[in-house]
Amino acid sequence: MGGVFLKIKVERVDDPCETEITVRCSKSSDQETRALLRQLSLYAGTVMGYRDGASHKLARQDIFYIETVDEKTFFYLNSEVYETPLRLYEWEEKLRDTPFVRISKSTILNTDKVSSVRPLLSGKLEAQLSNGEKQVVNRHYVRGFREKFGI
Amino acid sequence: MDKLNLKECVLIDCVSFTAVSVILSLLSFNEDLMSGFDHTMALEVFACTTLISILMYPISRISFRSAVMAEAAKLLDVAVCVLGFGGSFGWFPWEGKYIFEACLIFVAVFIITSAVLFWQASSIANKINRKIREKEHETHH
Repeated sequence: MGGVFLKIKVERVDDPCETEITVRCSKSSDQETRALLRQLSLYAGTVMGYRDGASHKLARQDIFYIETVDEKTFFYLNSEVYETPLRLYEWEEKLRDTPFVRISKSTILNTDKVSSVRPLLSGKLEAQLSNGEKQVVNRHYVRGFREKFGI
Repeated sequence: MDKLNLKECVLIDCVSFTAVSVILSLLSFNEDLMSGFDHTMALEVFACTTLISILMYPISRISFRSAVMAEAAKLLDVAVCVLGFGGSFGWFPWEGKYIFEACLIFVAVFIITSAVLFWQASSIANKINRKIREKEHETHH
């Protein structure tokens, strides 16, 4: 992973158990190790989404973006949409150390779902997602967006 | 169009006033092109750029159908203020040739400002795309 040497130990047990990952690293970890921890936290996270009166457990890495529409907040997956009772600013706080980043007043984007970016007028960016959708990063949020890519 | 806050309006005012002042100062080396760019005119120009910024504040709160329409609205704001002040303060004779020259100047300033913002966004986009390609390369190997 970019020149960092990792020792990986996998312990397979016969008894069924929950998968557990322990990461041993120095307190002043480098950029690659921090990126690894961010990816792991994304996979470890699940959220509750609601649709048609039923609750669903969703994996965070399956969420493309979170958007507020008519004062309600929704998770947008590849082709499904679920509602969440939490407000956008609450998700922004919860997802601070993950690939999710605020790109406008109404949208938080999962940068792991971004396949390419192109510039627009007035200093904005357009992010093309891996499912073909496009999201506009407003000028005010470009800095936070590029920081998620380590730039 | 992104809503502008007051800090950004002040920044736009300062940058556009500086750009216009430099252009007019350079033009005034040639008396045929421009004469009389003195402190009075500098203050008039500042009043004009300030009005442009003030009008930009409510314009930024309109939901335009496309980015091109939003940019056209900004240019119209500039046109109204420059031609309005130009006519009132007698910056240029109210004749076709001089009105055209005045339009050339503010369109040039507008294009330069937009080009700088676009170039900046383009540079960031290229860096991000490079990072995405590196990550995809690492994933597949």
